[in-house]
Amino acid sequence: MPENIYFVTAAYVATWLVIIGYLLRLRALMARARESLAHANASGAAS
Amino acid sequence: MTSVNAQTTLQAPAQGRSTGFGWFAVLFLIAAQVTAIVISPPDRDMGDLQKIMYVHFPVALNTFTCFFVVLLFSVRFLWQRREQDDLLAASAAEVGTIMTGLTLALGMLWGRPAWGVWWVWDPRLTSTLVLFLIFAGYLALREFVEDPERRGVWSAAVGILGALNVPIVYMSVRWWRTLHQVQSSPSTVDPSYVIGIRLNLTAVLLLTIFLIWRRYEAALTERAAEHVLQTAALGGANA
Amino acid sequence: MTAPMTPPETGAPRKRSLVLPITAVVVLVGAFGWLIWGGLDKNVVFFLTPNELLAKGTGGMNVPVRLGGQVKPGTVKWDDKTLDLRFDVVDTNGTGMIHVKSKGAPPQMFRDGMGVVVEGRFGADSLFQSSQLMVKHSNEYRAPKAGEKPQEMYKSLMKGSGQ
Repeated sequence: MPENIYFVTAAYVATWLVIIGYLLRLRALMARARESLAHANASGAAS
Repeated sequence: MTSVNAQTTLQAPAQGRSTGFGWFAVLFLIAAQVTAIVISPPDRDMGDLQKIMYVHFPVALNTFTCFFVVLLFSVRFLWQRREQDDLLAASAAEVGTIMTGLTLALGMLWGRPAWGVWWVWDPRLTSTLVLFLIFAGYLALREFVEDPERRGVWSAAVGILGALNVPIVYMSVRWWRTLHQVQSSPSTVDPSYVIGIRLNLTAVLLLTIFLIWRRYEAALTERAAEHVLQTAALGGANA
Repeated sequence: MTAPMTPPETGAPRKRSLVLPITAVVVLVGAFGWLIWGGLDKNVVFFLTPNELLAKGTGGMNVPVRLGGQVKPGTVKWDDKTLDLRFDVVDTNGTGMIHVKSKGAPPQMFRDGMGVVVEGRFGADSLFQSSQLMVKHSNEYRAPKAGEKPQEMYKSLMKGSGQ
């Protein structure tokens, strides 16, 4: 069945899309969290 | 609502501690996939379709790892009310939800060519979908409850309830008639496939641990920022 | 999770935001209870075996039903002009034969002795008209034996039984 290769490829592509997508989300979350922490520390020190 | 120890300031994690482990997990997964694909012959019945097994099965099994973490730390949160436990449970729930979604997608990509249908309402597929929906609900719930104490208690309750669904999903193929086959074991799988499966199980486990840990670090940092603001505001009011 | 840069909790507007979580939890608990005690219990029987369907007599006829069993070896007939597929389904112990008629080429793993689940109606003429044919794979994964061409089995089955 030659079309099997499409399903197999789709499975691996889907897996890596999810992994890379989630890693990017984690990076964005982390960056934003660090920013708010720095912000909070700055304003906390000011008050 | 101050019984969550909001006064003890959360410590933000040190920067970039888990990145090395993450790279290792990703590279290990690539190596495991390549090895498994290269060394295994096409299956007698399904030919190359068997290769979907190296992603579908490890991802599916490691969703259970995630939900076990949810169960463990939800219980401990209800017991000790440490905010870190709530954040760790939520992190595992998010990773678990995404992986359950991926499991369903991979299963459909396998089911269409192998079974002849994308989806069928058999007990295994239905219970997996219910598991996915419960934890999607868990994540939605956290968005809607602002008070940390309340959010922690409610999501711990849903998290424990959702994790109780895991044994049902696992046993569904034995308790009921399904289109999905029962669990394979090394005695029903040729050695040339078993090695690849073991490698990929390990690789996905490592990646799962990394993702949960990283998500937890982000959540912790975010809450630490909120704590700083809160103490500053309280301190300002009291002074 | 969007980091809400909300001012510290004062406890004022809390009542309104509780409706959604309560609904969510009620729905979840309901769904969970339904899964365990209600819905699945009734639908536990995802398919009937040939013997079970035959035992129902006329009650099992002309109603939508799922039939699950094994393709009886040597009974597959495929007509590549009309795309008619006929085969017999039996219980795993080989008893309780039901003739099945299906339309179109079957999934690639369809072959003699394979597990199948068919959706359709069991007619009064003792012919099961299938509207959906699904192949049930076992939990075995085996490398082909020496000289065995895995995907050829399907082709030879389809070809050999052509009318």
